[in-house]
Amino acid sequence: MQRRTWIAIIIVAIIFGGGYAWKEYNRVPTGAASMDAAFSTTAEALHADFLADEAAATAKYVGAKEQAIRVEGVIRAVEQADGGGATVILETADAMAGVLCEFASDALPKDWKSGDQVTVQGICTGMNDLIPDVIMVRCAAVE
Amino acid sequence: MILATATISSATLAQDRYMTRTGHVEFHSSTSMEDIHADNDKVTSVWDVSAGVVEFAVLIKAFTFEKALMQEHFNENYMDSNTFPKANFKGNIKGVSAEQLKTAGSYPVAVEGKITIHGVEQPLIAKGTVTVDATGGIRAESDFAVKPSDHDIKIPGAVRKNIAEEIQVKVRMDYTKM
Repeated sequence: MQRRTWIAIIIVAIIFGGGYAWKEYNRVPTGAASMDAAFSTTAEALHADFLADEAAATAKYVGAKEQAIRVEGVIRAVEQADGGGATVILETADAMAGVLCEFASDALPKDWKSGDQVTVQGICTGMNDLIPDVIMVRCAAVE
Repeated sequence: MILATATISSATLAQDRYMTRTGHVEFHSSTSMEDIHADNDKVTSVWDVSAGVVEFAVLIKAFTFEKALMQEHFNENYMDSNTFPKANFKGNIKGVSAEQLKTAGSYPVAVEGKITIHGVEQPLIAKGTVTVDATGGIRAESDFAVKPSDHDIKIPGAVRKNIAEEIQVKVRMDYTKM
């Protein structure tokens, strides 16, 4: 192969490789809406699974690699956050603890309110200590 | 009589306990190579003002980054968040009383306790401010620095210049009565 051809191949490889690296470096975290749900469950069942065996539930719902899960439940409260987002708290059997779903401001349906039956898809990050809430982030409403 | 005393004591204690489940913790690493910032708005904290005891619980995977690659490296390479999914702090807040929390104002406080990150416990001393607004809302804020090396967090040589030796941490809690 001629020297000129080799140079052309190297330049193309640098352009594509650099482009891929730049795109990968600037990739933003994926919203849960664009992911396939690994599991579908209810807020009560999800919370009960964490209370029964936190390690097993963490392995299943949080997973070693990031995954989305789909959770159906009744809204206990909608709390607006300082930064513009909101937290939707889904009912569980525990009056104190719930499934906390973090929504960006543009992801939360404006008409959601306490008592509504809803389905949420989000990234489960585990069950917290002190107050045993199950936490989901980057949530999206499922119509 | 004993029952009545116990009930009153219990009620008094409950009145002096505050909590949040949507506390905010952010950290920032700044070097000439790169700025790294992450936020967590799902921090749980319980503060017993009478006893002066405060606790925080943080899920590591609830930190969100601007860039996905940073988030993946943080969880998989540095924090080992599958092995150490939580961080916590337990200690004391000194400088504000239950009585002062009934009056609007800003109160400088001192925080001292033990912080556990990446499964390694270290002492932590920090200054902070507790602010009571006109509606009775209580906000506690503090800034401090954490060294990854103190918590056995290993930074590979190839990216050592991208990550600060001291990570700046900011904490902001809006408490409600339990």
